[in-house]
Formats: sequence, C-alpha cells, structure tokens
Amino acid sequence: MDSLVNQLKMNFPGRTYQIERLFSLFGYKNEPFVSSVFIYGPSSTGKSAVVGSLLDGLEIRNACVNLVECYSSKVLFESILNQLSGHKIDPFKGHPYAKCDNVMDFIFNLRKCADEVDLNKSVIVLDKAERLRNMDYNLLPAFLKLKELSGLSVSVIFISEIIFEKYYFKARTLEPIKIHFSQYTREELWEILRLDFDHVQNFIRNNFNENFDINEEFFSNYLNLFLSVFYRVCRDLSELRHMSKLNFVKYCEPVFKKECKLEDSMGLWRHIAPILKASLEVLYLRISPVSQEGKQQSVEIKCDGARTVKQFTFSKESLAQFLELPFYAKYLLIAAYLASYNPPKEDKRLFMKYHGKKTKRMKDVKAKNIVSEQLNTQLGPKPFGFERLVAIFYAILEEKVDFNSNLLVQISTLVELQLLSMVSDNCDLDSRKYKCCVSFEFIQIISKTVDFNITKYLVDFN
Amino acid sequence: MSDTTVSVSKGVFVFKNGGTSQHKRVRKPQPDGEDSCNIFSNKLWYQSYNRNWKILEKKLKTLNSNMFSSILSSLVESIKHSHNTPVTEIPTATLLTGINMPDHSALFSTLSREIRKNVTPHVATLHAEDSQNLKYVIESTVNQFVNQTLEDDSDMEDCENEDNKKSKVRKSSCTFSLLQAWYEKLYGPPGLRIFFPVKRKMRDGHKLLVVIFPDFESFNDKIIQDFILIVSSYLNKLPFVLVFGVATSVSAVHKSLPYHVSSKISVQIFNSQPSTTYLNNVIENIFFTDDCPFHLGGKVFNLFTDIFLFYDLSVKGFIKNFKFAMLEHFSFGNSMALCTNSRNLKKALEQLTHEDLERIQELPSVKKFIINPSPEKKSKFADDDYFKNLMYEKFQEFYAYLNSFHLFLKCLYVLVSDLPKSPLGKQIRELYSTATSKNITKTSEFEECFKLISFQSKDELYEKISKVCKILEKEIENNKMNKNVTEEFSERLINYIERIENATTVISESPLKPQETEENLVIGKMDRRQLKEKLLEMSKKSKLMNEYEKIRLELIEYLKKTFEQYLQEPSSRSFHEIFFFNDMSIKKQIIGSHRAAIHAALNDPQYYLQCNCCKLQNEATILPSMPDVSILYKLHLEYGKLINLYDWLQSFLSIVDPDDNNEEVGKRVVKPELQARFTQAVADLEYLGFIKSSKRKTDFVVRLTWGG
Amino acid sequence: MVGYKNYENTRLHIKNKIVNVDQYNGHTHERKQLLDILKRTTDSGESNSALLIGPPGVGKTTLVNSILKELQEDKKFNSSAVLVRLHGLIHTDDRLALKAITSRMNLDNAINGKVFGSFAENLSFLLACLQTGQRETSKSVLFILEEFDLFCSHHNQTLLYNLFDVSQSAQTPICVIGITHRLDVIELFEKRVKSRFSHRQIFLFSTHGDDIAIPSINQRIDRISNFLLLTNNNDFSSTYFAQWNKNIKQLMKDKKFICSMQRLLDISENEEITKNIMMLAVSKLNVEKPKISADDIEDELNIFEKDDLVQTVQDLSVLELCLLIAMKHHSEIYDLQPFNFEMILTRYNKFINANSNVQNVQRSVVLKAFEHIQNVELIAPTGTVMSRLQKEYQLFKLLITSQQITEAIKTMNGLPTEVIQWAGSSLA
Repeated sequence: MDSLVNQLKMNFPGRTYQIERLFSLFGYKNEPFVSSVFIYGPSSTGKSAVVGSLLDGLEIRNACVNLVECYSSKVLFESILNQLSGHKIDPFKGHPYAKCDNVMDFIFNLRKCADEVDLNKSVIVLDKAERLRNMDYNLLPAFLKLKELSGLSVSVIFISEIIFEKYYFKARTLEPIKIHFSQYTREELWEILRLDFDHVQNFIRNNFNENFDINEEFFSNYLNLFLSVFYRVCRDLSELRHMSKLNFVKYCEPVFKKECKLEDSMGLWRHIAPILKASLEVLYLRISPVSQEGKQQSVEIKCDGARTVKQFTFSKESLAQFLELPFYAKYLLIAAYLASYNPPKEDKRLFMKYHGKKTKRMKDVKAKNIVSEQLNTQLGPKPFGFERLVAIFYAILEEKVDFNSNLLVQISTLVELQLLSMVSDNCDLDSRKYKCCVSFEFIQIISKTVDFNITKYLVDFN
Repeated sequence: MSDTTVSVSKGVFVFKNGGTSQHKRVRKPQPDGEDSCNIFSNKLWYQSYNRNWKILEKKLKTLNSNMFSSILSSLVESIKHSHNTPVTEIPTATLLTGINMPDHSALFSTLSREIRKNVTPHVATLHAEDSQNLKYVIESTVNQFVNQTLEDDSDMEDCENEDNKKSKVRKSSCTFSLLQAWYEKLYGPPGLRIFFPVKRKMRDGHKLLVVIFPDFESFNDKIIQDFILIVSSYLNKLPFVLVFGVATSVSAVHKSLPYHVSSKISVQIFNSQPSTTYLNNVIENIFFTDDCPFHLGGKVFNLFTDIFLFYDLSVKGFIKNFKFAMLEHFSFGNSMALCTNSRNLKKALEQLTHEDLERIQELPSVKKFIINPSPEKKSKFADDDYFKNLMYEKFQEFYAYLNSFHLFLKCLYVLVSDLPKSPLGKQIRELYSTATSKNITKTSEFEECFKLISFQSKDELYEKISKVCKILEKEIENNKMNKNVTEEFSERLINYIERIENATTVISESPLKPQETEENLVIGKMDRRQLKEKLLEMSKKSKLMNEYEKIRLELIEYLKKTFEQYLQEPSSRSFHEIFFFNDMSIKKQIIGSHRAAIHAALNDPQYYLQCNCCKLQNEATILPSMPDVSILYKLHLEYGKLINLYDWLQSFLSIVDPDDNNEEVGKRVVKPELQARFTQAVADLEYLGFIKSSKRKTDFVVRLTWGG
Repeated sequence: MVGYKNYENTRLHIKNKIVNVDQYNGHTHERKQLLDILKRTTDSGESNSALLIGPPGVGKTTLVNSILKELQEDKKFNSSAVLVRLHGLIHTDDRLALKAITSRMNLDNAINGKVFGSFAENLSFLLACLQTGQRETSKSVLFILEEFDLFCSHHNQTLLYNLFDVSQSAQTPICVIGITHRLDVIELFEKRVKSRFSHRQIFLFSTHGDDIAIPSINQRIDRISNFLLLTNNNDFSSTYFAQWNKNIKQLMKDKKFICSMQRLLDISENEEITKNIMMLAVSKLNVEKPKISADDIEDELNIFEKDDLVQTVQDLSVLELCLLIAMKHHSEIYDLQPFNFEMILTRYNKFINANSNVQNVQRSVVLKAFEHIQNVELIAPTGTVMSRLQKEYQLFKLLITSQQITEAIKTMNGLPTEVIQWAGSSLA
C-alpha cells in the first residue's frame, strides 16, 4: 500500500498532499468510501492522472468518463455501465451493456449490474464535470448522492477546472468533499520538466545526431534559463513542456555545430536568449516545426521554409500574408473597416475632397479628451449599410470602376471568409447590414499591400 | 441567346450564393454523351471547337493533378511520420488553400485518396454544412471509420464475421467507445493506461486515424473545440491526426480555438501555391502553345487578366472566360473551322462551302489582302479552289508566324523579365498582351529594355544568352516548324556566346580591324535606313571600346533586328481574325451587371424574347402581349414605397383586358383566371426580390428596390 | 502490531458509523407524529398526506428511514402495506413515476397490454388491483416522495393531484409523505392540488423541537461524540478502547474544539459538512497519528473555509494576474461596467510601458491568457455571446470582488513588486 503511495509521489512531484488525501479516502479496501469527492484545479495539474493511476494502483473497479463526449446523458450512462460491467463492445454491432435514457433506467441497470459483478466499493470518475451543469438538471445532484439513490456503495469522483461555487445553482445544496489541485510552483515545474530528460535525449539522438550525450545537469540548467523567461507568462505544464522541448533543440544547436562546448553555459545563453524571447511570441499558438523525418525529403523544404518564418519570426505580417485577396476585395475590406469604425456623421469630413472648413466647437474639444475605453477601435465594429460601404469604397479608390456583379460577389466572398459578417439579413436587397470582423493589425497589413494609409481615415487617429 | 442567359443567371447567383461558387455555375461544357443531341453537333465549326477544347481540357487536368501532388505529397509525408515520435498533442496539419483554389472539393478528395493509398485506410471527412451539432459530428466520424473499413478489409476479417459485415453499425450507436473497441479489435489492445506524460509510441502496424475538415472557417467553433477535446482525451489509445483546410490564414484557427483547446494540438502549416502563379502556369503551359490555334487578342486578354487580378483570383473563372471567348469565336461560323492546327487544315478547307469562303473574304484583313493585288487577279478570288489553295499557303505562313511569335516572345521574356523595374513587365503574360495588341518592337519600353541590356555586365549577358540558347535547343529538337529560322538564330547566338566568353574587357589597341569584318557581315543583311543609323551611332561611339562592349553592341543590334522581324503584331497579318479573337463586345457578358439584365428583361422582354409581338416604341408603354411579370414590374415602377394590391390588380386588369374597362372600376367582377395570373406574377416578383408583403399594412406590399 | 490493527479498526469502525448512520436521536416529537400518521394508514386503513420539511442535512431522510425500519420490523407490515418510494431526482416525470409505482407494486403483468386514456385511470386501476374486497383486508400503500418540490414542476402536477385526490376519497388507503427542504413548497401547488392536500406539515429544525433551552451546539457536539466514540469493544484491545474513548471525551470538552464547532455551525447547519470534516479527520488516522486532536479538526475546518476563488486567482500566471488587476481597476473606475479585451489590453499595456522591466508579450498571447481567465470563469460574457462578433470586443463582467483579488495577491508569493504596487494603486 504505502509502496504505491511512494511510487505515486515519485511520479507526481508536488502532489504529495493530494495523493495522501485521496489515499486516506480510498486506500483501505475494507472501509466504506465517501459518497462523492470533488477534485478541482487548473488544467494539467495531474488531476485525472493522479486519480486514474491511484485507482488503478489500488485495483479499484472504476469507470472514467470524459463528459465532453457525452452530448447526451444516454452516452454518459451507457459508457459508465459498459466500463463498470467490463462489457466489451462488439465493433460490428455496437450494442452497449444496457440501454438507458434517464437516471431511473441507469440506477435500475446499475443495480442489475451489481448482481452480476461486485460493484461494492467501485468508483465512477466524471472528468470535465463542469459540463454536467449544462445537462439535465437532475444529473449533477443525482451523481452527488448516487450512493443514497442507488443504495449501492458506489462513490463518484468529480474532476473539474471550475470551483464548486459555480455548481451551486444545480447542486441542490449538496456539499461533497473537496480536494484542490493547486497550480505547480516554479520549483515543482522544474522538477517535473526534469523528468522528461531521457525522453528529450532520445528525441535528440533519434533526430539530430546519435552520439550526442548530455548529462542531467546540463538539461536542468537549460530548464532554469527556460523558466526564467517563460514562468511569468505561463504556468501551464503542458504548454511549458511543449515549448521547452522545441527550444532545447535550438539550445543544443551550437553544440552540434561545434561552436560551443557543453560547459560554455554563457555562450549558450547568449545564443538561446533571443530565440526564447522570439518563441515567447508563439506561446499557446502551437505552430510546431515540420517533423524531422520529413526534413530529409526534398519536398519538405518548401514548408520547412514556411516553418522557420512562422516559428521564430512569427508576427502579424506572417499571419496576414497568407491571405491573398483580389485588388478590389482588399479595398472593399478596407472600406468595410472604415465604415464600421467611423461614425457615419464623420464620413463627409473624411472622404470628401471639399468638405467645408471644420469649425472647432466645444464638443469637439471634449471629444478630444475622451478616455481610451470610449474609442471606436476599442468598442468594436458597428454595423453599416450596403450603400455606405459602396460609397466609401468608391471614395477611397482612385480610379473609376464600373459597379458590376463581380464586385458584389466579392462582398459575399468576404462574408463567406468571415472577414465580414452579415448582421441583419432581411430580404431587402438594398438595406443589408454588415460588420467588419478583422483586427486593426490585419487591416493595416492589407492596406499596406495596396499602399493605402488607413490611419489617415480613422477618426480615432486624428 | 447563350450569352444573355449567362449574364442573367450571374445576376441571380450573386444573391443566391455569393463568391467563389459563382464561377462553377457558368455553363458546364457538354459531356461527350450529349454531343450527339447537341443542336450544333453536326456543325463544322462546333466540331473543330470541340476538338480544340478537348485538347485543352486534357492538358488542364494533367496540370491540376501535378499542381495538387506537389502540395499534397509533403503533407502526406508529414502525416505519415506524425506519430513516429511519441506525441502529447494531436498532430494537426493546416493546409492554407487560399480563397480561390481551382476547387477545394477536388483537392481534398485527392488528399484523402492519397492518404488512403500511402498512409492509412482510415480517413474521415467532415463537412461544415452537415455538422450542425456535436452528436452528428461524432457519429459521422465514427461511422465513416468503422463502416467504411468494414467493406475495405473484408478479406482480413475472418469468416465468422461475414454476417456481421452485412449488418452495418447503426449510426446512433456510433460513439468513441465503439471506435476504440473497433480499433482494438483490428490492431490488438494498446498498452495499459499509462499516465503522465502520455508518451506511447504507436506500435508499427497501428494505422493512423485521419480526420479532415475541408472548410474550417465555416465550422461552428464550439463543435470543433469539443471535438478536439474529445480526440485529445483518446489520443493515448487512438492515433488521431487532424487536417484543417483553411481558406484565409492561420489566424482563423487561433481565432476559433481558445487557450484550453489550442493547447491540445500542434499545428503544422502547408501553403498551397498562390493562385497567381497557378494562373501563370496555366497560361504558359496551355494557352501560349502553338498546338492551341485559338488565340486571345491583346484587349480581350487584358480584360480577362484584369478580371482575375482585380475581382476574383479565380483561375477556374479565367478558364471559363477563355472557353466562352473560344465558343464565341467559333460560333462566328463554319469558316472558323479553319482555326485549327496544320494537320486538320486541309480537311477543314475541303469542307468549306462557297458561302463560307465569301464570309472569309468579308473579313477586313482579307479584304485588304484582296484589294492590294492587281485587278485582273481579283477575279480569281471568286474561284473557290484557287482561293482555297491560296489560303492554304497563307495559313502555312501564318502557322510559321505563330510559332516564331511564341518562340521569340519567350526569348524576349528571358532577356527583359529581370531588368531593373522591368519596363515590359515581369510576367510573360504582360509581354504577350502588349505584343498581341501592338508591335512590341516599336514601343518605347522595348527601346528602354535594350538600352538597359546594353549596360549589362559580361557574365550577366552571357548567362542570359545561354538561357535563350537552351530554349532554342528545346524548340529545335521537338518542333520541326520553321526549323531553319530557329537554327540560324541559335547558331548566331552560340557563336556570340563563345565570343563573349573569351572576350576581354580591356581596351584593344586596334579596334577597327575586327569590327570592319563584322561590319560587312552585318551590312549584308541590312537595308539602307538601318545602315545609316548604324554608321551614325558608330561615329558617335568613342573609338575606345573594349572588345566585349563591341560584341555586346553587335549582339544587341542583331537581337533587335530579329525581334523586329518576328514579333510583329498579329493584326498586321492577313487572316489573323481566324486565329485571334479580339472582340471586346463579350465584356458585357463576362462581367454581367445583373440588375441591369433583370431590369432589361422585365422592362423590355422583347430584348430577350426576340418576339415581334411586343416591340416598344418608348420605354413607358405596356403591352398586354407582354408576360404578366413584366407588366406588373413596369406597373410597380410607377408606385411608391408601398403598393396597394387592389390598385395594382386593377391596373393590371385594365391592361390585360381593356375591353370591359367602360364600367367603372369599383364593382367589376375579376375573372378568376386573371386573378390567378396576377397572384402568380406577384409571387414571381417577390421571389425575384422586388417586393415583400408588409407587416404594417394589410393587403399592401413593400417595394424593395428603386428601379433597376 | 496490535496497535496498527487498532487504528485500522478504529478508522473502519468510525467511518462506518459516519457513512451509514441509522439510529436516529432527537426530534422525538416529530418522529412520533410521523409514525402515527403512517401507522394509522397501515393499521386502520386511513388515507392521509403530510409534508416533512426541514433545512438540508438536518436528517429528514434519516428520520424517515428509521421510522420505516421500525415499521418493517413487525411481521404484518409487508402483508398489510406496500411501500412506494419515489425520488424527485430519479422520477423526473410522471410517466417514469408511474412505471416505478407499477413495478414496485409488481403489477407489471396485470398492466401489460392495457391502454389507458388518462393518467388518473391508470393510477386508479393500479390501486384497484390492490383492493381485495373489504376495507380492512385491502392493502394500504405508503408513498414516500423525496425531493418533493421537484414533483411540483411536473407537467400540471398530475401525479400529485391524483395521489392527493385518492388520499381524499375513501378508496384504497394510501399515505403520501413528501420530503423537501423548501419551506414554501405549499406555494408551488396548483390550486386544485392544494385543495386536496391535508395541510399537515411537519417541520424539522436543527434545534430541538420540544425544548429550545438546549443550545444546538451541545446537541451537535454530542452527535459528533456519538460518531467518534467506540461502542463495541470486542475488536479492540480493552486498554486501547478505554484510552481512545477517554481522549475523545477530552476532545469534546476542549475549548478550541468547541469554538471551531461553533464556527462551523455559524457557517451552516448542514450536518453533511460536519460529517465530511469528521470523515477526513478520521481518515488521517494511522500509525504515525494515533489520535484525533482539536488541531486536526481545526485544520480541516480551515481547509473547508478556504475561499476557492482566491485559490483560483493564486493559480494564475503573472500575466493573467496582471490582466485580472487591469479588470479590477477598470471596474473600480467605471463602477462595474462591463469591459472587453481591447480595453483591458490597453490598460495592461499602459502598465507595461510604465515599468520597463516587465517583459512585453505578443497580443495574441495576451488574448490566450484572457481566454484562460474566462475559462476558469473569473469573468463571464455579458448578454448573448455572438459567435459572429470577434472575441476582442465581447463584453465581460468580473465575477470576483476586488477585495478577493487583493486578498489573493497579499498571500501570493513570488510576485514582482511592481505588479503588487500596481494592484494597490487604484488610479491606473
């Protein structure tokens, strides 16, 4: 028993408290289990992992269900029963252990199942439990007191990223035992990432050079540097693991190239620092390098090039540059942007060559010092009419183009691409309302490509 | 009539479904089966049109497949390797297709076929339009996996499953747990559940499960998010790979996937080539080849490229337009059957009737040609055989001309394309359009180009010329037409190259001598004008020129001369109308202005119906013979925002049967069939989007447009 | 090793007591009341209906269970009565309820094949099936409806109507007992249902019904001691047994313990919570920790009292925390107006630009961080979430008070000082 606990403690650094607590509740076969436990904490803090491996380690009959995939309570019930009863689905028939559409059937079948196999002291694990709140009103409370309802000693473990407070309105004043999985501290993260050492080493050996051996402490030095940059921005383990792996390869490159010694940590730091900074920008975006095997093929070279662009000089340009639009479509998009971020009354002043002298009135002065929160670019796009769009389009477009179907087609194309969105689609052909759905950076790049100075035409900027 | 339908239909399509799809809606080419029943199928011109188009179509197909393969192979490769190393996130390939790939469905069907062939039999494709809720998505995914391979692997299933295979799994019971069971049955159970971190390398033989989302943007965010979460929860048991087809940019993916989802995937990006390069491919490899006898004149060609660049980057659209122009061209009459390659020329000529020949003689260029020669000859043209023979020779010349035209255009392109701010344009299509519309060698840009060339350094020039030579070689070996010209040209160039190669850039002491000899050599082929200007500029030239510079000078002269000789604009040749289509009148059909079309159709039906019953003296008049819709339309133009149905009906009646107008309008009985016709017409107008029934006032309709 | 066994047994023993508590003490008066009602139905075949109302965790179900246990003890109960238990969470509509009733009365075979016009017919048929000649011999039916308020939400309360109706009319003797924690449950009845209900309500409060004199804290404590004291000594070494009980008794007198219990009682009267805390405390027993001390209880209490929201905030990264602070400032300045990403971003950037030593990050990364905050439901979108609208402009409201944020920041360690200062300064 204790051996198991120690084993777990080794596998999950920084989870001692949670492991012991869970063990004290479920560790002893002959003792009764509590009816329900609620486990909560941020993502990738080992909630499911700890619970799962504990239950498996204790050989407790359990059923783990991820509620995301339960688009109906039917699926939920049936998969629980399948797992508890150890029912193997025949892939050619796909019949579940039993059909149940509601809690009543479920409990009935659960009892039935209890006659066949010993369900005493079995556990149901409901992952992503927050989804229960959006399902039938009776599910959450029913599972909270499943033991009482079914009369079987079956306990339920809820795993969620949302604190229990947010469940009250559905929970009918039931209080389970709560265990909090706190976010890892920097030291713990360092500990955990170090566990990857062998894996990373193999990864490098397989993909770069076989006879490359690094010692543990080289790696952990790297991790220190890595965390010093990333920890502030992100504490999510899975993300950090991902990034650290990517950057470690870069970190080692000078060593491959025999530019640096393993010991020369200073040189390595000088080499890696900018890269880390750069890759901080792709954090969460998960643009991964092309797989190393692929690199060998010549065909890969193209998208490999694309990779380097995306991977390290990843900026707004590279986001927008892949979008190629027809010339007029670009102008239409710009016009749309102007239309949704300028108040219509300003149009005259902005787009007409000879708008009279703009007399400075008191309210203009007031308008000058509106706080940033009231800027149009902050409040989001306003809907605009079709005519206004076309009018602005012709105003900003130098040469005269005739107004034909292909232009209109462009508008609907933009809508299809979700660069515009149709706000009101009444069947009135002339009074459709649109909104522009692109960010300021995006439109800036677009207007750069047709060298058009957009800030000149935005009220917020003058 | 064909063209009008095109423009009208376009008008409708704009509002029914916008954008890219529109181009696919232009009339499809007749499949072979229908040719027999096609009304033109026995017409000579149509046959030759069909022949030519078939050739083009075939070439297009091959081109497309090649283009796809280049993108896909890399993608498929990376998919194949995605699970070789243990994964913690779902490997996700994002294919940026650009807004107007020739067509997406084809691309993705090829993709899934490729994957099936090379990577794994398990591929599922999800389309946005029929993925409304998560339930459906999961069911269809699992269903595609399970049931499809039940058919495929029928041999590898042992016989006791035979009966099961017949009975497919019911959709409702398609859940991920089922999928898992099925997968384990196929490939044996995975290692026991390993936690932290999920680093199970997929054992060999374990085939991947690939899910393709062809149109990522149009999916509902929520659904995709949930789907990804589910998949990632199964990732350690089932080796999933996702493929997103994204039209706009990667940002679309990040836009629709929040933090907790995007951390479950690791994206790889693949760019399909931009459609401009695709267009260039098409133009250079298909339209600019002399086995396509039909050519676009400069103006029309410009029109098409403009449509492409400014309106829709749609290659498909371009091709359609080209095809349309071609059809237009051929439909001129049987005489156009001559627009064919030299092989079939004789046959075509034989089939021509006297009338056809006369029509040909009507052609302006031919007229000119006929006027010129001495009057006594003129009578001969009446004689068909004589004319046919004459045409035969003329056409041979023309073919030669076309061939050399393309060839030298290519050469010129090589020379000028990379000049500083390339005066003649960077793309060969730009050269083409200038060359076909006017004599390129007379243009100022041309002069400028050669000035620039004359400043180029030794190795630059050397390299260029050798490039040209390569082209020529290729030409020589796979084309017999006017061999002598090409060979002669290339020989000269080669000899220039050699001389450039071993020319020194130091000032040679006695510049005069070798130049003289060259001089004579050149003079041989020079008329007096050229000689004069040559001498002129030679006198200008400082005596101190190094050897290389001299050679360069000559070379340029020579090049200019040859280009002048071969790059005359087609309109200078007689019979060019046969091969070059330069009629801008098709513009109004290519760029349809839908409203105008509909307005015209309703306002003046005779314009389309070509019936002589309803000829209009002036716009306003309404004739009872018109179709009901247009009568109502014309009436409704006179109303304000709101239209009272009753009044409308009355005025309608007063037009369709004026006879019983004498009794005052109030209490006349409406003939039921007339009322029926009225309601029908109103419904039509509503369908066309001109009116809609108003909530505010009963038996009133709202007018939605203010005229066409 | 005997000691080891002792702890094992103690744990087992006490856990068992806590988990399946059966013997019920207190509320003697209400108990008697309810018992009579039931007895009258079973013995003398009177129909009746009553509601058992009390705050959650006060032990309503336990009470009923104990009563039923007592009833079932005498032989003739099973012959004279049928017990039908319905639960609001299980039988979510009348169709299910009826099915349950049928099967409970094991009349499935009687009913199959028959089609009924209405619910009422169906029910009356069921009841009729039970009738065998005269009143005395006919079986009486006891309906126990838990989570009674949920039944009120069923489609025009057909079930309730019929049950009460039957209980009014002199057909089969039935007794309907509703158990709920909603004091206003009567208000949920439709008129016709209300009129048929014998307005007999039994209220169950955590203070003793009969003598208010005893403050509930003592009562709570002796219930706890009930749990913790070892009763049967046969599977413990007598010395250990005595010793254990002795120090439990001490514990019960311990000032610290008592006041922490008081604290708990002030938070909530729900006994489940107490049980949970005891459970956890007991589970901790092992060789290293032979006995329960007042401190253990207090620790558990502290853990229980922890503010989850504060914890969630402390789990955020510095970046996310900065955003949260920005939101805090925003909602302080524009008193609790909703905000969107753009506003927060500008506010955040101001801060970044103000002090250089905080490294700046990509907009997209900040957006992801923002999404994360939304994901843990510290903020929630106001109004309808338009999928069409860009995320950046979706308006949000803060679901956490600025006090809680400051609280969290105070106790959070390893924060850069400038961030802490920024959090402090209201003008930003």
